[in-house]
This record gives sequence, structure tokens and C-alpha cells, in this order.
Amino acid sequence: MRGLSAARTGVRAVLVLAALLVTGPAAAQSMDDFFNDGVVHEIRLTLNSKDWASLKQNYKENIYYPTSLTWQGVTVPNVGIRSRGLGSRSPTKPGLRVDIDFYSANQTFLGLKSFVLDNLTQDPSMLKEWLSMAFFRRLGLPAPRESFARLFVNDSFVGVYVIVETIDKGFLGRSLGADSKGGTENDGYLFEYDYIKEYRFQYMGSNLDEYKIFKAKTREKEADAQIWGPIEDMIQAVNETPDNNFNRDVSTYFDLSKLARHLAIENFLAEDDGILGYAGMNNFYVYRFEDSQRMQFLAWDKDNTFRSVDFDIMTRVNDNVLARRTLALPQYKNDYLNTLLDAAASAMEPDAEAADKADKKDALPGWIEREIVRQYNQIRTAARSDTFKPHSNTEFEAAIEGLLTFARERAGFVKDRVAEERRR
Amino acid sequence: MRLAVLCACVLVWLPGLAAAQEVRFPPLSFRAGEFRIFLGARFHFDFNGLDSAPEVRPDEFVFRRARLAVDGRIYDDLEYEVDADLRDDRRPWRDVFLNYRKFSAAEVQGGKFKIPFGLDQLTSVFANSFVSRSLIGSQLSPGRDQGVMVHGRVAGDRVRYRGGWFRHDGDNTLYTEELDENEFVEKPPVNHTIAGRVDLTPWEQTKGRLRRLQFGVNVASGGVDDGLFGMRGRTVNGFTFFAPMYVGGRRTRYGVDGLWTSGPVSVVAEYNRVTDQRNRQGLGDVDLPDVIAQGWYLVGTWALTGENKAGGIDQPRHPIFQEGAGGFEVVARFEEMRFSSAGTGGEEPFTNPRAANVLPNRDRAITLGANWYLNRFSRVLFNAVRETIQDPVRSPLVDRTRFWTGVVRLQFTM
Repeated sequence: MRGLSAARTGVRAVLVLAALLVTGPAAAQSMDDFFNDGVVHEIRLTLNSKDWASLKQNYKENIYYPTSLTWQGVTVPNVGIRSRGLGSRSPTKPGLRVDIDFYSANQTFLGLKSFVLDNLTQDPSMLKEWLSMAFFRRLGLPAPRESFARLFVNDSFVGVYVIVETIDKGFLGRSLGADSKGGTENDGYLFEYDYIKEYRFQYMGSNLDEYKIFKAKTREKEADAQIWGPIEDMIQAVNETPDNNFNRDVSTYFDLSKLARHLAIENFLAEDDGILGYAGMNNFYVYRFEDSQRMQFLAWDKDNTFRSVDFDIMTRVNDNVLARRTLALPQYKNDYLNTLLDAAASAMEPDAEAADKADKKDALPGWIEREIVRQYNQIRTAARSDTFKPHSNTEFEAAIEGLLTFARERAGFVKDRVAEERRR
Repeated sequence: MRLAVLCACVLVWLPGLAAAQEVRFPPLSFRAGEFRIFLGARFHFDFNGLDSAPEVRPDEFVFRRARLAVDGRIYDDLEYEVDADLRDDRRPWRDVFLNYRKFSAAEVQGGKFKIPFGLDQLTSVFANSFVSRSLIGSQLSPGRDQGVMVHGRVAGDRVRYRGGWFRHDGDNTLYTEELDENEFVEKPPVNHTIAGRVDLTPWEQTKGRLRRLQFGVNVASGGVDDGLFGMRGRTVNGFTFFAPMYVGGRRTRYGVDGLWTSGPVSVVAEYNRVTDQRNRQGLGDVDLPDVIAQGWYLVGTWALTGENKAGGIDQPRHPIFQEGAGGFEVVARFEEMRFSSAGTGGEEPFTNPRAANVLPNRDRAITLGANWYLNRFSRVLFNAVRETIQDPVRSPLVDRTRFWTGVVRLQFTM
């Protein structure tokens, strides 16, 4: 009898331990875990089947549908999702914006109020968006954290997505540090650039409606003059300040050294649809700091990067008023070129442990190449089983090869061009 | 300023009314053999300018209704009516029907007319004691639709019944305002409604105080399509405080009401309840508890100048500019309309349109009014409404749940 009792006690202990093991990790999840790019996550959405069909049918509309979200044992009910994107909108593999607080203003998920599920339809390699943002952060500029996920809707696999941290007050608070009073810097004015026409930072006159291409994402209810007046002032200053006062006057609006760094990183990544995009400015946010005129660009939507190894380092610099006038000043041109070299060095930086053992460090794969290989190995199975992606598996593999070529050759091209530019 | 404008309007209006009284309109009826025609015209002009917050409703004059009606008989047994509102561009036709009246116990009516449900809804807006119908009368009662109805009086007129089949579910759920995002009204979502109403006046043949006591019960049921077609809760001025839910299955309405008049006084009460099924409307296509819209009102009226309410205060004893100053009546209405679900589904309450446990919301309103019946053609209605929304997040005002609105209406009928 005593043996049986002991056995029962042992079974209970095992069950309790098993319960702890099952429930323990769920309780310990954090935002960092959610954006951990060392695993392919699994996200499950439960919708009414008619809503999922309607979302795909009306994929060009921003109609919200209710859903519940489950990730690693954490379930959040009462969440709103909608189709999102510009050129990436798709009826078969819709990109999704997930608003945790859409139906319940105070609801959060791991501290997040929203996130994006990028459908990766414009990038056969599936890696450009994630890799670009990681590179921005590596070089010290704030950029959304991202990780990969297999998405299930009503228990059916609907594709590989990238989880993208939304640029909102939470992101600003986490990325920009303390404000001038020692508090969290996130109560300024945040704008998402809304691409509706080809625009390259020209002054558009005093009608503030023209500047609403900078779509207010915070303080939306304030007066137009409060929101867009400083934008108009800034653009007027960029366009009309005489050359000899440009540095002094425009520096009240931008840290021009940081601006040069942002432009250089975009260029190193051969970004063809960014601030110096082929069809005008695109894919960025602007944040105006609290109680200040100072603004900062923030990177967004980088799935048109890695255009080509020989993407010139001065591409469209002269087409954009802000870039042209800033880089016309020697100190910022120097910052721009130095950042390109930093980027080249960072991209080619070998693994420290391997470098210690290797004879020829130059032959070791650089950071970008290692990251491509690591993430490719991680997502390959899921990506190849994603039958909703608009590209074939052959195109996927070829795109990965293209990225690897870029990773191996871009730094050399950039270094040569920087040297050439300095000789001029 | 707003009151000054209002007073100026009334002063402009009054001489016209006096002239109308003296001229005496000719009877607008014609007869050609067995074909009789009666013409009627009715108008409403509203001044919305007494609100406590401009966000609730902008100040404005509104030419609200211009109703022209033709009715009459063909021979003795066939009645007809054609009624249109010229101010309604989208759906101008009101009552358009034929009624075969040979047998008073079983008349047959076909065409477009009010589904027999709800005392307040079935009372003409030109005979209503208030500027607006009650919340439940305007939103939980179905309104007009196309159909066929049998109706009659039995038991020595102590019982009046109405019952019929209608194509859809009335026009009160076809929102005429600008639709919110996510709302689709491509076609009426409720089909094949069966509705019936019984009015009882058990003491009508007596001479006691209960002679004018009337009870009514009504029920209606129709099939509602799958979609975002649930009942919507709106404030008196049309702000949506409860957004439609996804529904599918049957829509069932129940209602009871009572009316008592005695000399210059009347008391009216009504309760309505609408239940929408939500079959396979949940996340993962599960069935959800029914969503319920229900409400009540209590109305009291008192003709200060002594007119008999049941006899019609719209014909004052002492019309203005003739023998007196017209008839005066004070009115008050207390009412509530609330929305919730029939169960929790084991969930916390939420506002999303597929929530198992619907986060309730409620509008409570008090309407205080004064009616000035100038003569049998004209009256002026003054209404002040205080509304209280239960959920601050779904109130029309950002910082508060309670607000006043006011309106002055000029009514002219002939």
C-alpha cells in the first residue's frame, strides 16, 4: 500500500512538473521573444471563415475584422486585423495589420498595441525586409524589430510572414531614449509618409493640405497648424535658405550628420524605393521630437533593397532637395561616405570566433552573408511549403543566390566608389 | 442669438396662420361617381439649435417633411391611399395600399404600409406628442414594408387584430444616414416577416374611468441573412452608440403596450424586445448567444387648456386670433433602450461585432416638451431631451456621457 501511495505521489509530482513545464513558458513570454529572429514562430488567428473570405475578396480595402490571436500559448481575444500594403496587397496571401487595441482601447499583447504581418509578396528571397532592418539597427539607427512566422488561419497554414514591429509610441519610447526632461521620448509628432505622387522634397507653398502626404500618426486631433505647420516651415527652410546659412538653419530641423548616415545606409543596401526612391520619396516615417523643431527619419518597408551590387553610391542624391543640399556641405558628404565605409566593413565583418582560428580572415563570410545563410536555413522548409507566395521555389532559391552574391561583392564595389568619389 | 432667430421665425409664421384660419380652407375632396378622392398635405420645419454640445448636432433649420397624400374610396368597399414625402430623395413613398373593407371583421389590405408592430410606430408622426418618436418606436419597431394583411374588429369592437406577411423587415433598419465603415446594405437583410398585433379595449362599452384603457400585444418574426445586419442603437439625433453585430438566423420581435386617457390627461407605456440569432457567427464559425435589443418608455401628457386628449387636442377649443390663444399641452417621456447578448459564451464582454459576450450599452432619455396647438392646422412643438449613454467610449462626446439636445418644430397640416 505504501508503495502504491508513493507511486501516486510520484505520478502527481510528474503531472505537476509537466503542468509547470507546459504553462511556464507561456507566462514568461516577452516582446523580445516575439521578435526573436532565431526561430520561426507560429502565429494562429481564429476568424469567422466568412470574414477571412471577405478580407481576401476586399483586399484593397482597409476593413477590420475581429479575430483572436494565439502565439506560444498566449491567446488574445478581441483583436482587429485588416489587409495592408501598397504594391504588396494580395488576395491570395494578404498582408495584415494586427491591431490589438482596435476593439478594446487598453488591450496590449506583450506590451504591443499592434504589429504587422508582412506577406513578403514583393521579395522572392523573403529576406530583404528583415535583413535591411537588422542592418539599420546594427549601424545604430532605430528600425523595427522583425522575425519570421508561419501563419495559420483557422488552423490552416496560409504562408510565411515577417512579423514587423509597428512604428508607434511604444516603438519610439523603446528606440529614442529619454526626452529632454528625463521622461520617455514618444510624445512628439509622428508622421507616416503616404505615397500618392512623385515628390522629392520641394516646397509646395503655404497650403498645409499639400503637406498631408505626411500622415499624422499621433496627436491627430490637434489643429492643422500645430501638426503640419512645422513640416511646411522645415521644407521651406530646406528649399529657400541661402547656402551659407543652410547648415545653421536646417540643423534646427535635422541632425544632418544622422540624416547623412540614414541616406548612406539606404544606399549601401541598394534601396531603390526609399527616401531617394526611383519614383520619389517613399517608405519612411518622420518623428518630430517633443517640444522641439528637431525631426528624424525612421526606416520603413524595405523589401525593395539589394537592387544590385553596382547600385551607385550617389544614386538620385541630386534629385532630392534635402539630400542634394545636405551632401553639398563637405562635412556631411564626408559623413555620408564614412558611413558607406562603415556599412561595408560591418557587412563584411567575419564571425569573431571563426576569425580567431582562421589564417585568412578575408576569406570568411561577412555578417550579411552569415545572416542570409542562417535565416535561409531556418525558413527554407516553411518557405518552400508556402504555396500562397507569388513566386516559385526555383525563384526563391535563385533570389537567395542573388542575395549571397550581393553580400559578397557589394562592400568591395562601395569601397572603390567611395575612394573614387573622394578623389574628385 | 439662436433664440432670437427662432422667435423671428415664429413671428413670421403666426400672421400666415391667422390668415389661414380666417380664409378657411375649402375641403380638398372630389367625387366622380363612385370614385372619391381626398387630398392632404403636411409639413414639418425643425429648428435644431438648443443643443448643449455642437458635436452632437449642428445648429440648423431643416425642412424635414413635405408629405402629400391622396386617399379615398372606389365604391364603398375598396379604400386606397397614396402618400409620399417630397423631402425624401431615396425612398419617398410612404403608404401605398388598397384595402378591401366589405367585412369589418376581416378586411384585407395589400401594398406598402406599416407592419403592425409597436404603438408608437403605428401612431402618425403628425399626431405624436413629441418631435421624435421614442427610441424603441423609431428603431425597434419595423416600420413600413410591402405585404398583405388581414385586419378587423371583433367582440363588439373590443378586440382589433392585424396580421400579415411582409417581404422584408420594414424600413427602420434600412439606415438612411451615411453608412459607417464595414456596413453593407445592398438589399434588405431580413426576409419574409410574419407579424401580428392585437389591441384590446375591454371596457370601451362602459362609462367608467377605464373606458379609454387600451392594451396591445405584438409579435413579428423574419429570417435575417448572415452579415453585419444586427440592430443598431442610435441616439435621438442619430449618433450610433451601439454598432451592428454580425447576425444570422431569425429576427424575432415582441412588444406590449398600454394607453389610458381621461379627459385632458393621457399615460402611455410600451416595451419592445428584438432578438437576433447569431448562428455560425463566432470566430471559428461557432454559434453565438443571441444579441438582444430592448427598451421601454413611459409618457405622460396634460392638456393645460382642458381639451379632451382622446377627442383630439389638435382641434383647440379656442383657436388663436379667434377666441383665444390656442391649446397648450405639456408632455414628458422617460425611456431607455439597451443592447446586450443573451449569454456570455464564457468570455469577457467585448465590443467587437463577433463578440460572444457583447459589451452592453444603453441610452436613457428624458424628453420634456410643450405643444402649442394654434388651430386645427398648425402647432408648435418645443422639446428638450437629456440623454445619458452608459459606455463613455461609445458616447458622442469625448469627455462626457450626458448631454442635452433641443428642437422646435413648426407643423402645418391640411
